[in-house]
Amino acid sequence: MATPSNSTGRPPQTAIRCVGVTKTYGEGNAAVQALRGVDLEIRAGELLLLEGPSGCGKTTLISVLAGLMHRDGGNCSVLDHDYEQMSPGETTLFRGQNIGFVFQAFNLIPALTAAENAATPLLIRGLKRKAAVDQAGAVLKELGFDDRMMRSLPADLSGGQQQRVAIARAMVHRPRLIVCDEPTSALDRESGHQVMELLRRFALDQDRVLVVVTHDERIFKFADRIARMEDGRITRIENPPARAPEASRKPPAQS
Amino acid sequence: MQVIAVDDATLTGVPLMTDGATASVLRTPDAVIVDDGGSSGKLDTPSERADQWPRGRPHLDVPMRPLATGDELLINDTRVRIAGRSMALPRFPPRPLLFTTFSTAGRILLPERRRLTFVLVTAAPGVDPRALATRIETATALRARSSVDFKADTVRWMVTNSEDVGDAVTMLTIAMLVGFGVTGVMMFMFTNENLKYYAVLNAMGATARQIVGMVFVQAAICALLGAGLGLGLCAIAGRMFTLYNFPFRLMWFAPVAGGAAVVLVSIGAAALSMRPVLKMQPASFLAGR
Repeated sequence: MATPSNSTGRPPQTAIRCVGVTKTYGEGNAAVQALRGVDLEIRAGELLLLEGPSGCGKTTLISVLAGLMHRDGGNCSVLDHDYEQMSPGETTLFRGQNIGFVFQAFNLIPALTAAENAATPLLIRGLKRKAAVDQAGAVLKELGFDDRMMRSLPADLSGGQQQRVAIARAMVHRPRLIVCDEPTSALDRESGHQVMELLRRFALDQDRVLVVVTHDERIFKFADRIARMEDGRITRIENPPARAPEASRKPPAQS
Repeated sequence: MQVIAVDDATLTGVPLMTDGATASVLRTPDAVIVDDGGSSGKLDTPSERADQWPRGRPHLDVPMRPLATGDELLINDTRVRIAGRSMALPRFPPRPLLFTTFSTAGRILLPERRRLTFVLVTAAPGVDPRALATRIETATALRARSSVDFKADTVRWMVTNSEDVGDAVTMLTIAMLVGFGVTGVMMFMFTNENLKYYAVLNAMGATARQIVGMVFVQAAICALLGAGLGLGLCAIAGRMFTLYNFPFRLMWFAPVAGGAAVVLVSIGAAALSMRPVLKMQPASFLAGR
């Protein structure tokens, strides 16, 4: 059986395991069941795409996986931690150390330069400003930024460049899990491909986990697996189209 | 103009004079000392005699000069001679003062039933003014106050009876309320506008304490800038007032009280704007909403 590859050569470990996860917004007649028992297993070094129609629960699911939202039911272990067993403060610290975020709208801080934006997770962890900015600069350099671009404010950067800063910010503190919400929706085809190549290289090289929510079929080929969601459930887990020869591999978990 | 008569024998109560002159100039007949008392231009006189004023022009705009030693004044048909100028503390409200002896004052003022308002007494060296005042009260059955107590009584009387103090307090209260409202709303709007960035920082691991700290640091910077600008403008205004001889005095407690009020308003505004920060859900910003 083919399994997602990683650079270490060791058999991949299970990084995320969710069983029967449910989440409901509101109460009574206004209640909306966003997750209706999600079962999902993601291994280290894997890039998983979450795909499905709007309102099917993708963002809710990654919010639960990232510890930004409490689940109502089921079990979920993320990097051997269960958020329900942790205090809000512990969850926040865990996110700061282990999780990186790439938001659909970039959400870069307008008053900070590209390097300062990318250094934010390090600054939050208490690193000195110069060390943090130097470290962020090294990551940005890997992403093709020169010194002038690093000193630019987000407003002076193109959409693709802003998204690279957002990716650098998500990667700079070497998190073990990166969640991305529509990372290529604001990018053209070429920029989108570059971003996905970077993310994929990061996941595979570093033996980490990437969960990417997307509607963008152009990037399906970068995934190790594609989880299709409908009505708050994962209905199918498939191999990406470009990986047809591996189609026979059995998904590790199926809802 | 207010006439202040001093004791003929001791001349106690004449303020410091210009050009090194002393109060003894009042010992010459019909001598008076004039003082601006914080006013400006009210002790001016035409530069030329009346028969030399330009004809066919209003007399209000004839060239003027300040009253000087040797000038004569006609007060209630009595001629007096200016023997010098003094530099008393500016009065509130500003009003020119005329110092003279009690006997001269008796000649130039119209008859009144009660002419004596108070008597100024200088304590001999080594005598405690309060003890002296108590002895005077006992001996005369009149009220006697030391200089310090007289000042305190005057301030208390002003606070109790003067509408100016009430007006100032009302103005300050309104200014505080408006300042509190405006600052609070601006801080709230600013925080609300940046809520998604706080949410992003929280998602990336910034604790609630760190974010609350950020909001308070912003409020502190605003307070510092506001207080600095306010004090700076106040100092400039004061400087301008003194340049044009308007009475202005910045007491030590005014900036302290102003600073305390600014801190109070800023903390209140920051606390008000904190609610949405503490209530925010980082997940709601994940999808770019």
